[in-house]
Amino acid sequence: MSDIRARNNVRESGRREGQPIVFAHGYGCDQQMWRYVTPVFDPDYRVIVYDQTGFGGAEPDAWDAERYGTLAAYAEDLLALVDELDLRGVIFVGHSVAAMIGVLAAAAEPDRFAHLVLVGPSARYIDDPETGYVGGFSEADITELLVALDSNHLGWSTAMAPVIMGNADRPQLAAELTASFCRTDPRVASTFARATFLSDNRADLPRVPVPCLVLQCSDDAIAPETAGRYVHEHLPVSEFVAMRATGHCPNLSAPEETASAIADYLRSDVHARG
Amino acid sequence: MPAAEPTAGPDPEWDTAPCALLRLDAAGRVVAANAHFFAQTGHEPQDVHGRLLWRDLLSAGSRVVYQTQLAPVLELAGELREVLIELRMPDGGRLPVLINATRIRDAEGNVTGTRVALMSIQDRRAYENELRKARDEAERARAADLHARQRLELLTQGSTALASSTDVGVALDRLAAALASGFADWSIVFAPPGEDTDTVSWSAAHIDPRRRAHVERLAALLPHEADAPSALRRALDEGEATLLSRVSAQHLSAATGSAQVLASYAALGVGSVLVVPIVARGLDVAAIIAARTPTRVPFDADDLADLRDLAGRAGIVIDNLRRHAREHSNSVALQQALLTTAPEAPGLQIATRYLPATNGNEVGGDWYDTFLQLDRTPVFVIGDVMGHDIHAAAGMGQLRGVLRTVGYLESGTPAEILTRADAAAHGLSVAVLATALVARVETGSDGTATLCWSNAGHPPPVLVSRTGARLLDAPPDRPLGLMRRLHRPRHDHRVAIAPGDTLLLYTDGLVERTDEELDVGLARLLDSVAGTADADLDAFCDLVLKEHNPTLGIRDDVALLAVRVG
Repeated sequence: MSDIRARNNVRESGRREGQPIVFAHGYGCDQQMWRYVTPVFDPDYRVIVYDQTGFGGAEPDAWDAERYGTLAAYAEDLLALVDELDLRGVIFVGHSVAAMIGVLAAAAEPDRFAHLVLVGPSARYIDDPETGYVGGFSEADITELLVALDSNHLGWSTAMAPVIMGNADRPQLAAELTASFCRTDPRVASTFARATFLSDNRADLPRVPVPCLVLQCSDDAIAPETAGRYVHEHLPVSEFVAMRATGHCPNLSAPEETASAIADYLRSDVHARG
Repeated sequence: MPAAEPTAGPDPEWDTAPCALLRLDAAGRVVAANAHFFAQTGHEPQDVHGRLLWRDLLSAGSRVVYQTQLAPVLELAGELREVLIELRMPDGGRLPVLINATRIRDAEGNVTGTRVALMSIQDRRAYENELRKARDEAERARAADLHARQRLELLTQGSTALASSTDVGVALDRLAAALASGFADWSIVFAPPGEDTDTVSWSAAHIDPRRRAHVERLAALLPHEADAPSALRRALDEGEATLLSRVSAQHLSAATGSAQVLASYAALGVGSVLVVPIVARGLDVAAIIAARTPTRVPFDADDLADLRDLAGRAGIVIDNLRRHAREHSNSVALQQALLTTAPEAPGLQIATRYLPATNGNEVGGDWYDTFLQLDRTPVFVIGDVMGHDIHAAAGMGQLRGVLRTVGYLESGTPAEILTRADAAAHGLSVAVLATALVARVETGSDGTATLCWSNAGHPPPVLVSRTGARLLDAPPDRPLGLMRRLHRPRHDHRVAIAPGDTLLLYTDGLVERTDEELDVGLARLLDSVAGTADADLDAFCDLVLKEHNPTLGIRDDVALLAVRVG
């Protein structure tokens, strides 16, 4: 296995001696999702972003359909990153499904983590009528999603890959994004979607002894408030913050609100840190 | 594009465009749609205007794709091009379209809305589906091929690991390692208490050597679990094999009451598990736990069958190794029992040594013996029965008895003793082949001592005197046990010995090494004993063994008999 820095395109910024804060992107794009949020933390923290295996600038060869068929593999990657960078007292910020990746990692090796910040988390996307759980999707919805992703090959193939056009106002950004952003191999996208949307991590929540912050957007069709509340209520130590931001990606649509919610939480909880 | 803004009433260019066009406001609500859009989707204007495109007009799948992938791109890059999504039609049907979208900004750069073009690609889907089907089939074939190869690898690796093992512990270690090198992510092989131990022993392995300690921790905990894991108990007690193809966190908590065991499971990751007994001669001698983490394709019934196959082979190997070990310790005990204490012989000091073979697997038929004949002449025997097993040890016992009896009763010379013993052994059907050397110390009427010996194919004795050491290398006669067809007389040889002389009789294990000629070993022996004539006899024996035994390349056992005059 190659060096994790290259393997998962690990980028660092901020204060070298600061407490490490690791930002993980969820289903979909890559570490660019955090580009408007991380600068807020640079002055005080050692800021680390990375691409999940199979996404963005991660080494394509490291991805394997069998291994990456469940979220546990991504949690193992996270633990490997923490291990290889020898990080202690980690603040982990996971967006979307990366929130559950953080939950799995912290349940396995809680000593490594000081805080988890879960942005738009859901422990299970499919409703579970037996227990009255509302995840927001019916099984038919998810089946449709998976079929859609499986059949999207031609649309995502190299020849017909979605090309992201330049933004006249920010040509540099455009060039950078055109190269990689959201250009995921369809097999990777489909496998990760299965791992994400078929997962049920409800039983893992009580096993996380690390203090958590749940950030919930309004009108989030991927992780509705019922899902966020469930996560909050089943974590042993958790705070819940409802944000004004709408949609599923507040890190892009409302980076200021997202960053201050995280920063406020960390400041308020400073006494609780080890 | 002049006059393309659709906000101010009907526009022929807008409505006759050969694709569906939408305009969204900053929040993503539809503020305008062209005639093509309505014609293609079947929607009525009132079902579209004011609705959120992503939430109200897309299929569930496309909703997720839009939210997780397309919205971020639009947000960051300002444009989307040629992405396949599905529109939901009023009748519940789906319309596949390629979406292109551009953000609209005002003079200050604030986003005011989005222009969207949708191109139906329904007709292309059939073609795409054909391609996809072909690809899926190719992948299935490849996966099946890979599976077959992995299976073969497991059996090959496992069998090799077993075949090269020399004791049960090593066999279990290697088996565990072979299993956790791809077939499983981690494995434990348990051996229940055996005849000579009352503790459960185990071997643990992890595909990532750094995580082996976790497996070892679990292995140490499991046997103390009173009721669980029941699959392991069933394997050990009833010889039952179990396949657990999908193990959930709930299963694991239900399976054990121990927080430590649960923590080990969590640390290792348990996705699917095989528990298979190792049976030898109808007895359950061990059990294998092989596990894959949740990230791997779970074990299936074929994997279970493969592991049972391998466990069957392991059972045979372990049984053989155990029997061999038992036999070895029996042989050593038998041999030690036969090597008696030397009798008192007036005017002579006698010292003996016996070292079993160093690799622990072979038992020699080496022996030494001393006794007094009827006329009280002291006789010394050293011998080596061919073979390295319990038969050799037993044959040695019989031959030694025959030589002793004949030597005692007949009072003959060494050559006579050997000749008669050979005949007696043949007549009594003691079917062993052996080399031996018989010597006795004859005292003349004038008090001088003579050493008389006869050699049946044995390495030459060494005589150490104050003037040096030499081999008594008169040509040896044939070994014992080759009766009849080689009926030639045996010879006695004599040499005068003086007080202080030391006779060293030994077996070939002392001088033979796998990597050199016998002459080299003999020369080294002579070198090492020269100048030791004054050493205490026990110290002399220790020195000889230290110089020649037993660490380097010596596989045989060694018997030593030293006699000093005066």
